[in-house]
Amino acid sequence: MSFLTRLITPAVTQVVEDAIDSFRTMGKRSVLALLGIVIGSGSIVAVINVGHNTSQEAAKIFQGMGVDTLFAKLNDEQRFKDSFLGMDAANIRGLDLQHLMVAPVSEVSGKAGFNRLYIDVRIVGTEPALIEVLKLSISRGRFLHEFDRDDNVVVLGHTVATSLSSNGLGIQVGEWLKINNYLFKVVGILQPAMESMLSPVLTNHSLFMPLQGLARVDSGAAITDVIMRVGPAQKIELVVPQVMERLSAAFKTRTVEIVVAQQMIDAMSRQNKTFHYLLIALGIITLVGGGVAVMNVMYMNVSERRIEIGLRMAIGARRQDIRNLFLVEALALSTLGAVLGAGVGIALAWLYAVISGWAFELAMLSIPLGVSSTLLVGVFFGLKPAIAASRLTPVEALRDY
Amino acid sequence: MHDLNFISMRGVSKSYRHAGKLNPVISQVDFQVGVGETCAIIGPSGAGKSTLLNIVGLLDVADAGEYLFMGRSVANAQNDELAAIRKMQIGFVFQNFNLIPRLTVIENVALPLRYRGMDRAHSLEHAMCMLQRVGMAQRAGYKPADLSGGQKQRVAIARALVGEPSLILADEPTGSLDNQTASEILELLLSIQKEKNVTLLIVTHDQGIARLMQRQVVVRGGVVVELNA
Repeated sequence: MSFLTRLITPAVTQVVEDAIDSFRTMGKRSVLALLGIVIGSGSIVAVINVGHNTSQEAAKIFQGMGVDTLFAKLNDEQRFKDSFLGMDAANIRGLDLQHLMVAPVSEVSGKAGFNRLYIDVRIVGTEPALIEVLKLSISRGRFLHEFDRDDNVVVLGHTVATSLSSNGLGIQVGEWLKINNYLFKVVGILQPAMESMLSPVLTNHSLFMPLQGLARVDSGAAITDVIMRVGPAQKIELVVPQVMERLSAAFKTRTVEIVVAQQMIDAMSRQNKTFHYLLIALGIITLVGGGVAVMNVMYMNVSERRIEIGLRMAIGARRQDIRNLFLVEALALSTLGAVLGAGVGIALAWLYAVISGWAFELAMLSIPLGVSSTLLVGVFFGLKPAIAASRLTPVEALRDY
Repeated sequence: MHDLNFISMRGVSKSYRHAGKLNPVISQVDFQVGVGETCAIIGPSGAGKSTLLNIVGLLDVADAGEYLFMGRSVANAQNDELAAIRKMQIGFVFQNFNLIPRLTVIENVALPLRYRGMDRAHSLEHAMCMLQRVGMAQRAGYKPADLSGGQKQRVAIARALVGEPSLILADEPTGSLDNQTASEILELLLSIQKEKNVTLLIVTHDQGIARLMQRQVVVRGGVVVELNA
């Protein structure tokens, strides 16, 4: 007799067919295990997508702010009572910050009137450099210029222009606007701008005039903020100490506070990462719960099919054939759970985005990560019952208890 | 005269441990069966008949003694080697049929062929031929639960024979059947045995069935005695 016959193995298709067949008939228990796997896999996919979309949204807040911008706030406990706009502006001009675009900002609230329509506005006194520093775009006319210094001219933010046009007469460049009893000529209207969380200037809701113009409108106005942009060759983190030192020296009665966009972005992404890890940990815990459910179902399955295991051994199944049979079943259960879970996870993340008013964007890595981690868990937890089944001897398995 | 070298046991013993104590089930058994022979193993319950059959069928291994299967010692064979011999040479018929309830009749019969690596279509074709031989072709698509006891045992016989083994081991094959069905099943088993010239070993309580076999051995107190030697 030839013992080479032991090399004959069952067809792979048979192992898979057997697995799918028995999985189909496992009934309610497999549905419960499947539920655990679906929840686990779904959590992983959902959290990755929610995290991804949160990051996208956070990134949008900082979009357009530029990582080369820094904002200095000049706080004054004395409520600027000793400050004069002209003096502040001269101080800033004398800072000697080379390669840095600098725009001082003084902001007050006021009313602007046009054609008997008065609206509340934020009046920003600044210098021409602001258009470069904040990367503003002109819709009509022009921005402030050096030669406007002593003139009553104003540039309107997009929303201000729209509001002043709401009585039917569209405001145009060249029209005159009444601001706190002074007439200002409109020289430009800005395009809608993306508002930055860090910027002291709400571009769309403001109107911009030279500092001297603001001093006329509000004699108590002072420079409250300085916005700066570094050149392409400069590193912002190297510039910050110099700016801090010079501003503190120039404004001795004030406290200087500098906010760098990049620092905020870094802090935000660190926070996002922590959030991500937390969510992924939650997903993993759920997935392990699902894995334990798979293990329970597979143990029950092995116990119920003990006679079948004995019979298969009697007709020639080797230990590894029995192990593979149950392992493929666990894998089939996990695969189905992983695929359904991925669908559920994407749906949940989409729902979260819709409820939050975000645009949903699929995190491409979420599906392979979710599915592969679920399969790993399935194999890990399916292996022990499968090995237990394969270790039965034919006589033990076939015994009637 | 049969060639008694097909199955040859000498001084075979087997004990099982129960509650920390070793209980001998069969001891010092000498037993030979030839090719194409039919042999009944009879004896009271708990005498060790099934243990002997399990050892013969390589489902269990002896603790001591020598066992030659088709002239080759299997005492030191690995699990995979034993599985390969069972797959190619031995067909089992059980008292409780042991059909897989999820599978259809034809799939149950085809299962041994799938373990031999035969593809699904061919194995089903062979299984159908075997079902025709046992008169169960009409029930090929049924599930075992939809069959009577006699029908289930016919299917089990078809499964045991589909791989054309050289040895059929039947443990109380008619034990769960009424008299009429039992004699039909036995008739079927014997006719196929004759047709294929396979060796047939039957464990039975029934003296009537035992008398239909060429040889009868009695297992009593763990010892095998030839009845009509």
